Amino acid sequence: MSAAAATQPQTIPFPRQMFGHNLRRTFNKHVLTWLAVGVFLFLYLPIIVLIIYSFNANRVVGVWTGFTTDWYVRLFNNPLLASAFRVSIWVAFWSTIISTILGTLAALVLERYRFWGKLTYDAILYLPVIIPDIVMALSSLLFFVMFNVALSRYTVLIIHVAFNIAFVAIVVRARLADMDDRLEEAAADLGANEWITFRRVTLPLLMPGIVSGALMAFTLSLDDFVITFFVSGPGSTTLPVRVYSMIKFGITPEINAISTLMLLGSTLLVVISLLLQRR
Amino acid sequence: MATPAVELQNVTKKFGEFVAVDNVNLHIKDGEFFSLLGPSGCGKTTNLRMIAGFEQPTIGEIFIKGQPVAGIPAYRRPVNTVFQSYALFPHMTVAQNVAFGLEMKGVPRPEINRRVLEALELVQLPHLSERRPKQLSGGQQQRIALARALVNRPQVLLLDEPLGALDLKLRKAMQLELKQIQVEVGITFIYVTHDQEEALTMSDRIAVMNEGLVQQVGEPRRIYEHPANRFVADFIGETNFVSGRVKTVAALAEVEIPGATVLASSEGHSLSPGQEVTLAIRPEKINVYPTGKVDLMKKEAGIDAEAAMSLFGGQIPTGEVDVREYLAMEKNSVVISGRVREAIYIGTDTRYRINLNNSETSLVVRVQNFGSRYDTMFNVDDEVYIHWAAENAQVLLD
Repeated sequence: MSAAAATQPQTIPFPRQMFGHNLRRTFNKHVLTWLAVGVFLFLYLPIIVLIIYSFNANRVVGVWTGFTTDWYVRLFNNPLLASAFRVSIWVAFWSTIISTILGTLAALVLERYRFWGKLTYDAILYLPVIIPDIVMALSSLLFFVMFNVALSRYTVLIIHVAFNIAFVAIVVRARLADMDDRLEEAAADLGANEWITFRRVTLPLLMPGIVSGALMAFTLSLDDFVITFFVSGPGSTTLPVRVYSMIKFGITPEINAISTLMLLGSTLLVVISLLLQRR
Repeated sequence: MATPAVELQNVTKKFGEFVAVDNVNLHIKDGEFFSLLGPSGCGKTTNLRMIAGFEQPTIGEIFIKGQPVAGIPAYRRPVNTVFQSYALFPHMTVAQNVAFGLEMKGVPRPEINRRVLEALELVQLPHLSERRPKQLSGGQQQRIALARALVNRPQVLLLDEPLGALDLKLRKAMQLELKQIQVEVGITFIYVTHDQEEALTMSDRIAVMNEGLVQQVGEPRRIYEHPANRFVADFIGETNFVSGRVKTVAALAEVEIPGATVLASSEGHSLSPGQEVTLAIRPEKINVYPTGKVDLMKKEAGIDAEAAMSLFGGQIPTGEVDVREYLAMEKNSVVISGRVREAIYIGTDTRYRINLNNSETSLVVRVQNFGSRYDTMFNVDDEVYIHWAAENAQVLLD
C-alpha cells in the first residue's frame, strides 16, 4: 500500500465509530433500566406497603409488631362493610349486563352501518372515557336534581351503565374491526338470514371481545368512587364510598385489608379481560 | 336454445360517481366453466358479487336459470361462493363449516353427515373433518372452502380468485383439479381471475373485462388467436403491435406497415382502404431464417425437412435453394428481411428483437430452442428473414 493512500481520510476511523456507538448503547441501557425501576417503585411501593401493613398486629400504621390476619376476620364481621359490598356487587352486576348489551349494539351500529350524524354519535359515545370523573359526577347529580329524581341505588346503576357503555363499545368495536367482513357474507351465501348469521357467526366470533368488555365494565363499576359518591343516596353506599367514610375516622389496618382485597379482585378481572382480548 | 345458467342484461353498477360495471350483457351457459378475466378494478368481482346478491345492480337485470333475481337476498339464491380469503368460520370445525349450508336448508342430520363426508372426499380431505381452519394450510383451506360451497349442490358456483393466495406450483395443480371437479359435478362455474394463463387453462369461455366494460367474450383459443381489440391482445399473452394502413380489403386484407406490405386477418372487423389500423402478431408465431442459400437436405438453420417435403410435394430439391424463395412458396405467408437488434437466451426460447427492412419498427420474436442448437442461434446484427402465416397477424381497430 502506498503512503499517499494510507493518509487519505476516506472514512470515519473505525475505532472512534465503535466507541461512539458503544457509549450511546451503554448510556441507553443503564439509564433506561434505572428509569424503569424507579417508575415501578414509585407506582407499586405504596401498594406493597399497604398490603404488608394489612397483616400488621399493631393498630398504628407504620409500627410493625407482628403478623396477624385479624383485620381480615374483623372485616368479614363488619355489617356495614358487608352491606356496602352487597350494593357494590348489585350495581356492578346489573350495570355490566345492561352496558354490555347496549355497548355491543352501539359497536355493531357504528362499525356496520352508515347513518346521518354517525360521526357526532361516535364522538359523544366516547365522552365518558375522556372527560374527568368529577365533571361526569357533577353533571349527573345536577341532572337528577333537575328532574327531581331521588338518589338511590338505581341512580347509581343508571350512571354506571352510562359510563360503562363507552368502554364496552371500544373493546367490542376493536374486535369487530378485526373480523373479516366476508365471514358474514359467507354465512348469507350459505343460506343464513341476518339473524342466524348474527347468532351463529358474528356473535360467537365477537364473544371474547364482549366478555372482556363486560369484565372491564364490572371492574370499573366496582372501583368507581367519584361518580358514585355524588349520585348515591341513603342505602346505596358502595364499597369505595364506605371505605372513604371509614377513613374519616382514622386509617386502621382494616382499611388496608379491604383495599388489598379490592386490589386483588380488580387485578384478577383486568388480567382475565386482557387475556380474552388477546385471543 | 336452452335457458342460460346466468344472464346479465344491460347491467350497470355505480358506486357513487364511479362506474364499476358498465352496461354488461352476458349469457353463461349451463354446465359451462366461464371466466371473468381482467386487471384489478375492472369490475369482474363486482359482477360476481351482483350474481351472488351481495350487491344490487344500479341498472339492468340479472337472471339465474331464467328467473329474475332482483330483490332476492343472497341467502335465498341458488348459488354459492368460494371467497378469495376462503372466509371459513374460524370457530367451527371443518365438518361444521361444510355442514353449515345444509343445516340452513333443514336437511336431516344423517343426510348432512353423509353429504359432508362426500364433499370432503371430493376434495380429498376427509381426514381433516375435526380440525379447525387455523390448523390447515392455505391449499387445504381452499379445498374446504370449495367443499363447503359444492356440498349445497348450487345451480351455479361463483369463485372469486380462489387460487390467488396459493404459491405458483400449488396453483397450477389446483387449476387442473378445479377443472376436473367441475367436469365431475357438472355445475356451472363462474370464475373471477386476473391471471390470463389460469383463465386460458380452465375455461370453456372467457369474458375479458376492462374499466367496467366487457371487451370480448369467447373460447380461450379464439380470444388468444383473434383478440377483438388492442386491450385484449395486450392483456392476454405478449403481442407485437405494428401500426399500418389498409390497402385492399378481403378476409385477408393487405396492410402497409413500415418496410413492407403484408397480408393479415381482418376477422371481426369491416375495413375500408386507407384506414389506419394496428397489426397484432404474437412473438411465437414468427419464425426466423438465415439469408442466402441453404441445402434443405442438411437441415441447416432449422428448416424442417418434413415441412419442406410437403411443400415440395415429396420432392425436396437437391442442392442449394434460396431461403426467401423457399419461404414464399407457402401460400399466404409473409416474408420480410430484417436485422437482429437483440438476442436473449431464456431457456425454453430465445427472444429476438428484429428490425423490419431497415426501418425503425421492430418485432419481438420467440423461437423455441429445439435440441441444443446453440450454434445456430442468431447474433446481433445478423441479416435474417422473418416469416409468419398471414392469418396469424390480426388487424385491430384502435
